[in-house]
Amino acid sequence: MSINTQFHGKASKGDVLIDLKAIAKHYQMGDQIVHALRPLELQFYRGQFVAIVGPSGSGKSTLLNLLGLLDQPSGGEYWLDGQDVAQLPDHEISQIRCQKIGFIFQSFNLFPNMTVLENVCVPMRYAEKSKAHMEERAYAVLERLGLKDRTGHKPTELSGGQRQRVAIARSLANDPPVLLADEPTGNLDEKTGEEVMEIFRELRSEGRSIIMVTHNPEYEDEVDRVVAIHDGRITRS
Amino acid sequence: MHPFRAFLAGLGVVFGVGAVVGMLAIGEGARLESIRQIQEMGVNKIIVRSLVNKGSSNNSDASGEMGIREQDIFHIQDNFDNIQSILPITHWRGRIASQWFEKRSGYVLGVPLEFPEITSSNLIAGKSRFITQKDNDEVAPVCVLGSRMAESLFQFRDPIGESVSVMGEFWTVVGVLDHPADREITGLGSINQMIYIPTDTGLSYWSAPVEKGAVVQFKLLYIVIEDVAQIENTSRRLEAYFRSTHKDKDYEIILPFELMKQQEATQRIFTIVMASIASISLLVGGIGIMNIMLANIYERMREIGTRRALGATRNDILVQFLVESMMLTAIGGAIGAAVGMLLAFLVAQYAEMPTSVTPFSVVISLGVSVLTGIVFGSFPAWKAANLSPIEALRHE
Repeated sequence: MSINTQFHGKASKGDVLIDLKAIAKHYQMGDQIVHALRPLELQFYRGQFVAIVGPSGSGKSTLLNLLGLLDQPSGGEYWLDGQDVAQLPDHEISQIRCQKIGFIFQSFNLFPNMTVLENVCVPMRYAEKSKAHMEERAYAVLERLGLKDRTGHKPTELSGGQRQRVAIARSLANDPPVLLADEPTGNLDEKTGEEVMEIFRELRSEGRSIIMVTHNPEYEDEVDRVVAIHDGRITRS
Repeated sequence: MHPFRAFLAGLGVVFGVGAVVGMLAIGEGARLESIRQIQEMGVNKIIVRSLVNKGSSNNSDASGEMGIREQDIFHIQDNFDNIQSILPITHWRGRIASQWFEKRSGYVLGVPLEFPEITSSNLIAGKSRFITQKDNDEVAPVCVLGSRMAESLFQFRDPIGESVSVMGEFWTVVGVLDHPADREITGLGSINQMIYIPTDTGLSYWSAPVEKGAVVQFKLLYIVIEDVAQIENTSRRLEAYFRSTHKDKDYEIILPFELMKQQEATQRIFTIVMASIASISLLVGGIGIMNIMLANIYERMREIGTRRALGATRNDILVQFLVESMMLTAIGGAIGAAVGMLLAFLVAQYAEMPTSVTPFSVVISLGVSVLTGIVFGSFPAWKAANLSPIEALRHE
């Protein structure tokens, strides 16, 4: 089975997958308004591997949270795969997270009491897939990531690199058009970090969009595009 | 969830449910026992019993007779409907002996012929028979022994055809009567410890029985009712009759049917008390559950955030934690039910109290413990569901 993903849905604007229009985030702190993200315009294209960089506190995590629909913007429009998702109710937002976005975390966030296979099945459970489909798909993605013989193991029995590969397998479970990775190599040594980058490049070449937050400047040369943020403003894109 | 801490938190529910199941079993056992005793008396009967009130004998009539009198029986026979039969019991008390053994004091009862049927006792030993009309007509000196009386007078020998001396007179044994549960005759003692004789023979040998200085010819009246639905009506009329004719209240009317209703009222009170204790203990148990669930959610914030990111709705999270707290209380409830049954068994075994675990009490306790899980799990589950995904993910 191929993990290769064709283009998802119908692109509303050429090959633009994500279109942020005047998106902003600010919140009240005491009697001050903190502008975490100034209104910004930004597009992400299908099949691109993008790095978001910037010093801590620059707003890059806020941007990633907005992109991941974990946070709601204070204003603006967020078009994902042809749909404005900026102000949707919880159950719809949850389904979009489930179907269209694959999350990869710095510290993997695997469920320690579940096996590798069960971990990979979690997003499919929330997508209400059949049991047969879940198993077939989980075995396929795990095989694709070289974890075929680790399916019955608990995450604690795996190395850091293997754990992050399980997390990537999990993010691919529902075949989402975009992966959001928050410092995916932050908890890995240089060599395994490079392996993870290699996996991302392969996935990109199969047509998947990847948006990665990083502060490792070395990776800037390995991605298609770098978006730099400073003080809630885009300084390079 | 930390297994040992979950166990400690669940203990509240375990003991709550255990206490409820155990106490209900004890209550149910007591209830069944008293119902059995009442039913033995027969719900289709009204029992009138003679009482001798010391110091009121100066009020008694010229004959010195107290309690139920012959004219009472005649009056009831002539003026009451809804009565199938009236069975008077006369009693004497004195020395009883066979040629081998003797008893210094025992009850001798003059009873009607239907006595075995109304008391549901059986004739045992080979050629046993009960007293017949012929015995009464011929004033025959025959007697039937209660099974334990027969044992103490004859031990292993066959008493049929043997002679027994009762207060100096000789009687031929014609039968042995036994009640398997050793039933009591109201105010006298076990059926199995009596001697039964034809009433007429007794009255021809001895004068009417005397108790505490007063003549009490009839110790008991069993009044068998035709239509049980009208039993309260009949007993009210009976009460009115006795009240007007026996001014010194030398009688007592016992209504097994009424006792049954009183028993049910007592049971209701017991159930209400039990339910209150149960709700308090389950409240305490429930607070323990809420506490562990809050701690659990705090510890698993990252998991909650991750699940939300992977597509879980608020509702999914709510249901997940509700199910967990329900599982916790259901397991606690199941262990508690087992503890309660063990408690009931131990009480029956060592305190020799009858107990009875009903399926209903187990089902209701399990149901209530699951409900406790839902009620006290709701707030923690609601909190978990409404966590901001970013906050939850950021949590270390």
